Amino acid sequence: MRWMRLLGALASLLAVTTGAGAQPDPYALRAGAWDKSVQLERSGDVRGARDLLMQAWGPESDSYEVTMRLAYLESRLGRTDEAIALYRRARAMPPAGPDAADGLALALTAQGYSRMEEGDRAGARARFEEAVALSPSAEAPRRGLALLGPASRVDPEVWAAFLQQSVEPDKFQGWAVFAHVPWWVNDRFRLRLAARYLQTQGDVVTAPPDSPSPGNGPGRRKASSSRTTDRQGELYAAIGWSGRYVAVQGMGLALMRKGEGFIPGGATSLKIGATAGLHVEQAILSRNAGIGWQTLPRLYGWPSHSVGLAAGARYTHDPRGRGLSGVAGLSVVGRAAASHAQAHLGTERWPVTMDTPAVLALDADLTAGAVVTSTFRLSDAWQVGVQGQWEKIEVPAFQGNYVSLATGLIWSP
Amino acid sequence: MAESEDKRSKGMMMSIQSFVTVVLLAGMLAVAEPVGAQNDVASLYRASYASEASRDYPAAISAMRTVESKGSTYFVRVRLGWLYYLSGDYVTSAQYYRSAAAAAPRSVEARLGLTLPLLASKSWRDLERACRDVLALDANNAAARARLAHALYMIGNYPDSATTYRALIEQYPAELDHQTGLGWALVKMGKGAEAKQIFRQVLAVSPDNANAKAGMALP
Repeated sequence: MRWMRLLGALASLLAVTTGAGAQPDPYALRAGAWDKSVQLERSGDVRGARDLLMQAWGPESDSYEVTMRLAYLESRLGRTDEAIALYRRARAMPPAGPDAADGLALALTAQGYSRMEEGDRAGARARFEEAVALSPSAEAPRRGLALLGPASRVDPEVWAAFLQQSVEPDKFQGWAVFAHVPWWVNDRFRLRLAARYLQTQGDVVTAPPDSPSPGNGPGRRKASSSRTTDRQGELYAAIGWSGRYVAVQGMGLALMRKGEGFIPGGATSLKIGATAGLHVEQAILSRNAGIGWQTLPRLYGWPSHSVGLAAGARYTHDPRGRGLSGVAGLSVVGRAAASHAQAHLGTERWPVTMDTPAVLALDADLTAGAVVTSTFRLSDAWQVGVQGQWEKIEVPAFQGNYVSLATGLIWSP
Repeated sequence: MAESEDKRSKGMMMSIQSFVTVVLLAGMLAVAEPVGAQNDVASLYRASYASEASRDYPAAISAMRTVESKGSTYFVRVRLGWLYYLSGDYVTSAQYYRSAAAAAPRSVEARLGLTLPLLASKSWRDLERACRDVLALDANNAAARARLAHALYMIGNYPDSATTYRALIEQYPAELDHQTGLGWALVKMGKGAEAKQIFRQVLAVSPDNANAKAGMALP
């Protein structure tokens, strides 16, 4: 007996001295790991709970329960790609039950909403549809599909606006109507047609032939005025393609303007990124005085599901010279209402916008301004919108303001 | 003359026979000691088996220790491991099984034997390792898998315990201990509803199964 014990002791000593005892036991970490992981999760350390299981079992465990729990923890951490891969793996394991399908449906739904926020409609739809197929009674993916609407659809909108422009002592006011028909051919391609007509009337103060050159001097007080009516028609046609990280758009436009006639133009936009990225718009206008172009690069980001921020600069180059303005935007989006605000400081001329096709065709420098658009959901199909815009305008030696107030209806059948 | 020759001839034959007899006797005497020793070892084995049968384990061990003193073989070590296990000396039992396993690196038997004293002494981590050693040589060994599943459960590795029990249930669907084992592993992982379904199935065929009853009594 003694020699057996002696042999055992010698064997232990040999194991230690040769390093055999230092071999890591790959299973040692698993003892008690499940309970520890649950405790960590309960204490709020979800990442710690995930890491512990990952260390003990590795990313491709043959345990159904570990795979399911890792998927759940990844989902809680917002790592939906990892969660989906793990749930798919769990579903292929022999003991897989409805909990694996339900978990996968939940993860797909979460990712579907993320994709929707990123503008990846096709990606979002694919995930919602798979989630519904996996868990037919689940509400969330069905709601996502309802929010997306059909892949091919038309969301027309009509707006009416009141306009006022004053550069003392000249004053114009008028109205505008705007119709916009975006047609989603599918989740990737969108065609758009838009038209605006506006008419303004006002009194233009004209100086007598002997008055001094423009200025606020006494000469202007002697001036006489004449009533004038301006009309302008605008037509827009656009085609766009949206992917998960890239969206491109091209737009042709034509303005018919009293006194200037036909003004053709075009614009393009490129968006790179998902919840954050770069958005660049460029536009060109061919006026009688010459060709003008502008570019508007913006960085944007959505720090939360409902708040978006953007900042950039618009550079304008036309026969009247160069202009540069800083641009900032803020979006707050809820289920019942959404507001988008954009402001600029610096000189812009005839700024072209593409989201809502428009050219602010004022023969003046726009040195500061802001536009706020809010929409309110009346029902699943109807939204009402209001928009207010203010611009500080300058013509040589004179300053003034431009204001418009608009309201519109958006129909999403 | 002929008669005397015949007598002489017979006398020679007798002498030859005597010589052969003497030689044979001498030969037998020469090998008498080893044969006696063999008979002694055989007696010791017989005595050990008889003592084991009558549950006199110290006597059974004593007989084998005497055999061991004449030369320790793999068989002697395994048997001593077994007898020490029966006697309740799990530490010595494990030592003999380990010694036997070292002597026969491909022996499933010695490694599987080692799991007995480890199981009895509730040395769960050592038992897990011993079971894995067996399975490294014999991946489908049912006894090793069952003991491994139990050891894993006891050290809190419920996921691997459940996986092991599931595989056993596929091959031994009527083995109720595997089913209750899986049920308890699921309970520990918070899957009470799934576990109760298993306990219910066990109680349907084994109404007094204590493990399943205890599982069903959980809130």
